Amino acid sequence: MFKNNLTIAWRNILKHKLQTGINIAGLAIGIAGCLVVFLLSKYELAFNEKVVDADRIYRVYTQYNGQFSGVNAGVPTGVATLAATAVEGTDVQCLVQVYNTSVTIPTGQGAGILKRLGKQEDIVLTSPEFFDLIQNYEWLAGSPRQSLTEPYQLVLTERKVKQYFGVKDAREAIGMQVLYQDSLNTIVAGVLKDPDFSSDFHFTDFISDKTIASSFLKDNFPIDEWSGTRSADQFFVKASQGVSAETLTGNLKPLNDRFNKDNEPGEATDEFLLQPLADLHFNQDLGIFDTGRRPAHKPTLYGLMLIAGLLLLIAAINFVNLATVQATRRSKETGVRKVIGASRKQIAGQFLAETFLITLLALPVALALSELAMRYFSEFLPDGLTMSVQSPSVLAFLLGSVVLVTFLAGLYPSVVMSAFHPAFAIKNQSQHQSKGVGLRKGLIVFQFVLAQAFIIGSLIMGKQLNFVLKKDLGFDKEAIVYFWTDRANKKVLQEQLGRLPEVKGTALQNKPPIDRGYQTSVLEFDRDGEHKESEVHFRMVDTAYIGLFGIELLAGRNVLPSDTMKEVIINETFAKDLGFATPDEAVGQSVSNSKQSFPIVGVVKDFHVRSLHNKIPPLVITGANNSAYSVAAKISSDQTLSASLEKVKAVWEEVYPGKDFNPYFLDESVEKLYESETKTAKLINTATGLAIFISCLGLFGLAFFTVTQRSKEISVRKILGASIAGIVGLLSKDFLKLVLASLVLATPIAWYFMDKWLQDFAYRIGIQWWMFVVAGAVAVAVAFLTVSFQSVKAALANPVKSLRSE
Amino acid sequence: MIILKNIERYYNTGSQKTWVLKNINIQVNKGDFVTIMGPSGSGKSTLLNIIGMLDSPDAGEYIFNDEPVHTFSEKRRTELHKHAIGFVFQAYHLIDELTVYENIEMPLLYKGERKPDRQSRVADILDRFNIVGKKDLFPAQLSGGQQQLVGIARAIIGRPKLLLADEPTGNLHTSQGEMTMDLLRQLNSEGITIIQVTHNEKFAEYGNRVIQIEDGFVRTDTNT
Ligand SMILES: Nc1ncnc2c1ncn2[C@@H]1O[C@H](COP(=O)(O)OP(=O)(O)OP(=O)(O)O)[C@@H](O)[C@H]1O
Ligand SMILES: [Mg+2]
Repeated sequence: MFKNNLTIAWRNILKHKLQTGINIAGLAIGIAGCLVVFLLSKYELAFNEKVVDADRIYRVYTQYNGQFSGVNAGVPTGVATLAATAVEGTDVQCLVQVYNTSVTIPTGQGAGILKRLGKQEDIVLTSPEFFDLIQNYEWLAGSPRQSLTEPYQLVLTERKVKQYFGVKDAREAIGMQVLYQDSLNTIVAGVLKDPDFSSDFHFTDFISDKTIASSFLKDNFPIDEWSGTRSADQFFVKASQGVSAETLTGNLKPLNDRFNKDNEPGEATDEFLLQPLADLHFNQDLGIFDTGRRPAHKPTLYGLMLIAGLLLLIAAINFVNLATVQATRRSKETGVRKVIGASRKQIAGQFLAETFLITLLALPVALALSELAMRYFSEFLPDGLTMSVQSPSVLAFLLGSVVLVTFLAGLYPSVVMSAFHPAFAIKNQSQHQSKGVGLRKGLIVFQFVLAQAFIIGSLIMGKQLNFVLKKDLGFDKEAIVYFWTDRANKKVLQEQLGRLPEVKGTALQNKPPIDRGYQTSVLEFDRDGEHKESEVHFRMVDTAYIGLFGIELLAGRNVLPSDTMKEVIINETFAKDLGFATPDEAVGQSVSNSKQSFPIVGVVKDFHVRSLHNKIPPLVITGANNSAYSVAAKISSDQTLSASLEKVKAVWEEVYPGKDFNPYFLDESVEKLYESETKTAKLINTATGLAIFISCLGLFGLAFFTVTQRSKEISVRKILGASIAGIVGLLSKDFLKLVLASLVLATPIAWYFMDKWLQDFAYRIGIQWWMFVVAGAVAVAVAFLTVSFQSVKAALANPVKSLRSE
Repeated sequence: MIILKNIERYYNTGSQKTWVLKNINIQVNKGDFVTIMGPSGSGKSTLLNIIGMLDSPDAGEYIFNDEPVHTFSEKRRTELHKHAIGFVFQAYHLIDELTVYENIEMPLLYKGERKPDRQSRVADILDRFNIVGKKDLFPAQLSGGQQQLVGIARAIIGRPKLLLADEPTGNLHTSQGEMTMDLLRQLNSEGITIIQVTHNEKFAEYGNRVIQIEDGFVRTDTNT
């Protein structure tokens, strides 16, 4: 029976190539979308899941309260020392300090150098406890207690051993040397098997933390320190069995007390909190480690799931529509089957078999499409994400989606068809005709509501992105390149760059005018007995800064050369906040912090300090060469950028031999501020295209069948004198009405979501009525083209032919 | 074999009822070859559909082999007609996507017969109807007479007790029609009860009894 069903299904599929093609194309796109999102979700959600005792592992992070509320993934290193004696309820405590630096492999004889590798990530300073914390590692040589307790001991993963030394057997690496930051001489004392579990602990080089005290590292990695918190210093604990997160958080009290010891009365207390390991991969505020890897964004993941699901739904709708529009054709067959003894179940089974077969045919296409999609969206996808069809979960997913789609798309048509009353069905009187029409219209409207909401969404996103990228930021961002230096020799670099004919100007800065990160401090202001405190952003720069970036001075003068903060220029916003009616009024007044007072020597026009998500904050520009260790240069346009950059690079290499040349371009940095929005827009654009495409495929198919069914009517009308335009209009009218109706529904939906999206920007475009008109026009135009292709064909056909064939 | 008592069938057209069949009382015995005749629209097909259990009467009793069919659920009726009744149509109603062989085999599939049984029975029938050479052709590749041959083959492959034929010769030339009627007569002589609808006086004579229907009433019921 099943074989017979498949045979008939197969012959039907071959016979109705257009319908089959439309269904396969739509379903393949839908399934491909779902597959990619499935792989991505599975990849992201699997992070840290396999870590032994994952539910007992926590990261201790710092929560600042009060005026500077915020979080830091790290802790002051003193926390680790104090916690060892003062915090109860843990099995393991472990400080992990990320140390991203250059790696050099000496030959082992004299001062010879085998390999010089630039800056590497995933290097950490830690103790043997790390391997009690994360117990999944397998050791090829050494053990935690032997290999990570003495100063200068180093443990590498197998992959690193191969990269550094090129040896076949990882164990041969024991005793070999690795130099970090040119002069930290470590000896390999242990080798780990490459981790086979998915976690955020990507570390490959583990240096014994005992090394810090006995080397130059102690300058950069303060031990038992309470005054500063770096996100590179992270503290993990494993709770003892039966100790809850609440209990353990309470146990951190001695740390909080110590941290807030020097608080002034009334000052908000900061605290240490626990982040469960399961949250590590997803917390945008805390981040993961100080590496390039960013946490996954769960809402984005859910959004992707929704979009992929919707695409599949649109495709399934095509299937249902095309099946029901053909119900009349199939009703005779169904009636005959019933008359010769088929039960309802058997009839339904046959239609499901057809759906099943089509879905099955869509699978290879879907797999090919997902390969393409993974390439096209590679920037969204983490590097470790690959597709292997053989993996059981992918197979299970594919099987599941075939079953789901078979029922989603096939169930309704098969129920409708199998309910046909045989006596009527044979007479080709379909009793469900009118019911099918209503449903079909509803489904088409649903498809086009989605398609048009997507159109409106991408339109608004595109406009907003264009707006934020084109907006005048209040300073020049073109042809500016800047570097981060390590304080030493920054002036030498600036001077030598300034001498190049390719460089029009240079400046020292703590940050360029606009930046992702920010540095704030509180300044006080007293006038007429009134006391004001403001949280202020800082630019600590030299005298060339304002000129280099073309920042406009509204009143007063530039700052004088200085190594430390002595006087300030404020921006308009700050001037207004302080209550000055005009910029001139502010000049000559002064602001202060707890130690010192700073005269205001000038006021600059407002410029954007952070992305356009944020309002322009109060800002202070101050001459403080000591705090400015970034060098900015404006490249002249006389030569090509790459030629000029070569010269700049040569200077860099002279000043900082052996250091990586990492130029940042200000205009690119500005674009990077909107990286995630740009990605979202690309995604929505693609979804829009696909939604329109699949919906129109369905419309195309429906138009085809409608025109076929009405061919006799069309011929009669033509013979009676109807014009071609009249017939095209007659056939297209119904479809276009539906598309317009969906615009009415799509408008409020799109409005709601886009308004929400725009709220994230302090500076944004307004949603305007013409955007909806454009979206409607696009949808109507595309739908009309799709439908009219069929109806024009019908209108032009020779009427006699179709009448004769009746 | 068949007893119809006061069968009624009407449609609701607008607010009032239009009777298609009214007060039908017919008894058909095993081995009968009954012909139903009457003007177009008189209710012949409707009656045949009711007898064939494709349609149910709005009133009256239908006893088939001592079983009160009018009280049965749709499922039970399907089960009954699947095993006991074969249909032949004016427009053949073969399934276009299936070959001759597969069309004939179909009822056996729905009855759940095993493959070797199906094969031997289809082969027997193909042989008997002399259409072995056509078994892999699709309906569209056959003449009308050949299609009706296949239609009859399909109707009797399940060894029904009753064969219902609604104008089986209506779409055929006279010679093909005669051939079809010869076949029906032969099947009847082998013990199958047959009820046919026809407009053709000559073909009516193939049976042993003619029932005339007019406006939903049985006008005459004569043995020939
Ligand atoms: N769905 C329906 N709704 C209303 N009336 C119907 C319906 N189906 C059939 N009829 C009416 O029932 C009557 C009997 O129809 P039936 O098909 O039984 O006639 P018939 O005797 O077989 O005619 P013919 O010789 O043309 O085949 C007709 O008048 C027809 O109009
Ligand atoms: Mg009839």
